[in-house]
Amino acid sequence: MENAALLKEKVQEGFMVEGMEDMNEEYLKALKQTLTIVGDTELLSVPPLLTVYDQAPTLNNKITALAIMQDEIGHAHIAYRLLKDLGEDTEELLYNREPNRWKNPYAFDFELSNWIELGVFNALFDRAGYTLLGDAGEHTSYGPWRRALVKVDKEELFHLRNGEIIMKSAVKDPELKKKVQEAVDWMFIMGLEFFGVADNLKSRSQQIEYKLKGRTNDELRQKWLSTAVPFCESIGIKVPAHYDEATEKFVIDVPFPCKFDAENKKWLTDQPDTWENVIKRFKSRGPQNQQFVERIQQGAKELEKLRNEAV
Amino acid sequence: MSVKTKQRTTFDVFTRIERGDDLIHIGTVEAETAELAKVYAAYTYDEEDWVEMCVVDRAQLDWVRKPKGLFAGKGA
Repeated sequence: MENAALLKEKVQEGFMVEGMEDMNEEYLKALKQTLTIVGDTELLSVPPLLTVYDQAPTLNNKITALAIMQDEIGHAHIAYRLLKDLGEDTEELLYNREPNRWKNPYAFDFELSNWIELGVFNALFDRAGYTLLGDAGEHTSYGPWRRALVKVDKEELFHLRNGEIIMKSAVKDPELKKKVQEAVDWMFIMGLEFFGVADNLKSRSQQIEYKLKGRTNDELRQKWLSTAVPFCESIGIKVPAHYDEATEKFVIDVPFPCKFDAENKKWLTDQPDTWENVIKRFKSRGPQNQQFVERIQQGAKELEKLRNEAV
Repeated sequence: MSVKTKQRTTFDVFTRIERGDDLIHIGTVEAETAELAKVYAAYTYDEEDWVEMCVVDRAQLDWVRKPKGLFAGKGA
């Protein structure tokens, strides 16, 4: 049996991959791509959070926000450490990679407008991370990653609970409730996009065949909807999705995907789009992509400059 | 980075949550010295209030047995 078929069969039967000698080239490539997306996503979640953390209404809120950012950097560290053990040059990846080559979600290329958006970011985007990484923690065939995700799972749950607390407390005030609704209006559909192209447009997925993850994009999107929608409804916030009893699935009430006005952070729900165009939009990046990546690289570059001057 | 910094080594991080629990491998850090490795480990892996945590220079681990690679000798 050829290597690819053998490995796919083994992992589907529960075989755990522990080292490079258990992998073929294809597995290694898919694993590295996956871990790069994960590391970049964790790390680049910090700059948007930093844009509003000084608007925290209380010192406790501020301490919690900083603890969350520290967690995210820790999660990124884990992904990059795993990549280094797989032979990747992580210094190069972190400090010499062009901003548009980073693999974080499009949603993270935006500044937040206010503290409420930080809460919605935690409640919706960290929920997407919790859904995606929870699935990997449950199903992934790569042993070192599965073990590392125990920490990540605990902490992401804490982040999304923090977001829920901020949203719940804000909706008690009519003015703040309006802000929650405005934030959800642009961030909810962004959250849906985290899970990627619809299943019927994907011919095959190496991530699934090699069991790097267990569930398909649409299954994961449904899982996210199954907690995001009831939570928002429970606090009186409207979302463009509902549960359909007949099909026992969540249904999105607007054209998805649809066009997005990045300047005004507004979905143009009267203009349906294709996934092909969405991928183009992802690749052309959001407004703060360059600034946020530079922020990450700035310290290392300044230190290098000082070292050069000292020599 | 063009300027060579002091060589960093990989340390494996082991912890015990409560007395009586197993000592488990929870991750890795890279550091120039064991002292720095201890600091990095304490800050990075703070998800539990560990009763015990230690770092071991990976080069100091002597393997008695390792999993036999599925494609031993010809893998990726």
